[in-house]
Amino acid sequence: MIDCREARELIPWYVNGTLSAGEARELAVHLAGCPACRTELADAIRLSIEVKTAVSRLPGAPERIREKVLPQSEVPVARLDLGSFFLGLSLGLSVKGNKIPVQGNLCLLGRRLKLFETKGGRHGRS
Amino acid sequence: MGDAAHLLEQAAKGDEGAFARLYDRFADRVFRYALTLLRNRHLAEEVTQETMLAVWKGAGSYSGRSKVSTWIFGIARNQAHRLLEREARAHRRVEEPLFLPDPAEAVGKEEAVSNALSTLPASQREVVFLTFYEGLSYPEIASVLGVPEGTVKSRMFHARRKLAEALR
Repeated sequence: MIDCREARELIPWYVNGTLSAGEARELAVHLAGCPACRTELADAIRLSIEVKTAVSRLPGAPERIREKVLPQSEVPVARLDLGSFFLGLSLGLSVKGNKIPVQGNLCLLGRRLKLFETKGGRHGRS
Repeated sequence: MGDAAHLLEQAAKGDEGAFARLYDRFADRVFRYALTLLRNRHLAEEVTQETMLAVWKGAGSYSGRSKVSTWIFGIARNQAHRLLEREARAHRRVEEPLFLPDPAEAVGKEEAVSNALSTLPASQREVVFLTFYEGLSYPEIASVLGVPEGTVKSRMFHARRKLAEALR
C-alpha cells in the first residue's frame, strides 16, 4: 500500500500512461480512497495538456538544418554518349547538394564500366 | 517505436532514405527539447544539427537496449551540455526570452504556461518536457539524464509545485 507522498510522485507518469502495471494498480487503489490525491491527479492532467499545447506551438527545426544534415541525393543533369551499343564512351554530369560530380564510362556491349568520377568540389558559399 | 529501430538499422547500413525518414520523425522533437532546455534558438539549432549528424554517423552503435527516442534524446542532452559548457567558458549568457512562432496566435494560457516553464531550472524543465510532451517513463528519463530514478521523481515534484504557484 503506497502513501500520499509516493502516490504524488507517481501521478505524472500515471497521466502519461507509462507506469508499470503493478505501480498503476497500487496508485489506482490509493486514488480510490484519497480525495486529496485525486485533486492532484486532476491538476496533473490539466498541466500535461497545457504543457503539450505550449510546446507544440514552439517552432520546429528550421529547414536549413535538414539541408546541412541529410545526405544529398544525386540528380543527373546532362549526359553525352559517343560510339554505339557495342563500344562507346559516355560522360555524365550531375548535381549532388552543392557539388557537381562528373562521371566517365566505357560502354561495351551495352554494359557500362566506370572509368573515373570526380567529387565535384564545393560550389558557391559553404 | 519498432519502426524507428528498423529505420535506424537501415540507416546504419547506409540507407539515406531511411535516415531521411528518421530525421523527419525526430528533428522537430529534438529542436523543441533543445529549445526547452537551453531557451536559445541558435544553440537549439546547433544541438539539433549535431544530434542528427551523430545519429547518422553512429546509427550502428545503437544497441537496441533502449527506445530509439531515449537514445536520441540522450545524444541531444550531451550535445546541449557540451554547448552550455562552451558558452560558460566564453562567459556568454545562454537563456533568452522564448518566443512563440506568431505572437498573435499565442493565447493567454499558453503564454502563461510557457512563462511558468521559463521560471524552472533547466533540470526540472527537461523532466516536465520529457514526461508530458514526449511521454517517456521515469526510468527512461533517468536513462536520458543519467541520474537515479528518485532524482527524476523529485525534480518533477518540485517542478509541479513551482508551476502550480506560477500559474495560480
